[in-house]
Amino acid sequence: MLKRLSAFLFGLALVFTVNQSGAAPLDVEIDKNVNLRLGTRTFGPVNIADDLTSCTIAFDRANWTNSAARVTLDFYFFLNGVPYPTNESGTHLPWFSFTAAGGGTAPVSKVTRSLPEGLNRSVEVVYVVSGARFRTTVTAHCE
Amino acid sequence: VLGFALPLLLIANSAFGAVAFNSAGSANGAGVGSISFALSTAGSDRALVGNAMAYDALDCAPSSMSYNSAALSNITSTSINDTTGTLRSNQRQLVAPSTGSNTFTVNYTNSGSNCYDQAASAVSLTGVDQTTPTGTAAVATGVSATATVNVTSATDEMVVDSLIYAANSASMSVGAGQTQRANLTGGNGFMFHGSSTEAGAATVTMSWTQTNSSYFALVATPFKPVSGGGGGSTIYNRLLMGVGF
Repeated sequence: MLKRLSAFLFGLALVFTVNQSGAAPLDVEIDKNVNLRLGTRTFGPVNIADDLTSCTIAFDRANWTNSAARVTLDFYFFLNGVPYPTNESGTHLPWFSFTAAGGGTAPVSKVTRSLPEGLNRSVEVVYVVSGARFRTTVTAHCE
Repeated sequence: VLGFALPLLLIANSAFGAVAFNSAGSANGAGVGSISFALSTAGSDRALVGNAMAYDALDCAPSSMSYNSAALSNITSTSINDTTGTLRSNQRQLVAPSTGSNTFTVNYTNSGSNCYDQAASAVSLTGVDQTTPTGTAAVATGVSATATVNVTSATDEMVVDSLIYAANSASMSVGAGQTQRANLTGGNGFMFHGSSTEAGAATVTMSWTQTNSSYFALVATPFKPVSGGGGGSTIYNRLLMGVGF
């Protein structure tokens, strides 16, 4: 009986250890099959787990056929609740950015960058639609 | 005292004459017209090396690079066609980039809509000759499990390479003697991008390997030290030659 109890407690400890060490990835559909209007949209800031190492922002291009429809995306990062990085004027710089236009043959528009290490981290996504509306799904994935 | 101090002086001066690594950053993408990321630079006699890769079925060449809105100058580029598309590697440089955190940007032709896989990296150096920052760049293309290129360089220089390698293995490894500054896949995983640095010598071999043979396009450039390279600082050379001051 004591042996069984010991094995159970040992197993329980293992489960907790695995749970604590594994990062909870961030998977969010920011906009799902939405006909995006012209203008600026913002997602976040949202907190991310301490051990996540990279983030990807993606736009599905299946229905994004109009080359006049453009997106400019900025991904902002906060470390210890403070904008990071900032330039010498104190302006919060995007951790990464991309631009994309409709048409062509690529199935998705996306960019991935590794994240700075640290605690109390959060991210914010700001994107601007210009030229023409288009239908897409926008996702954020951090792992 | 002189016998003790002189070797110390020589060692110290020799170190001041060499190009040094400062910082690096990278990001990957797919189907985009530009990729930007924040990068911090510091130090004296700075130079920034920009690397842009694209793997595409149609035209998706890197068309420009900038750092804090200042344009980088083209060093060299090369490309190779594989069975499904074109692998492109472009390397550029900027002397005296702004210090602090700023934005590095790569722009592509064709708004990126035909770009199946993309990656960009930047390497910041210090101690670079501000008038003639680079030596002769070398390029190589081929199909092999090892991508390699030989660069003519000199002591105190630093060689920076930039590779696009069609992915035919789980990962890619940097060659012996090189320090890896970027090693990532493209946004869709069809290609690897690597960038590394290695201290200058008469001939420097830059190489990367993956388990299986694949198509590659590799460029590498030697960056020259403030003193002109080839043996350290002016003081060092004068002492070696027994010349007075």
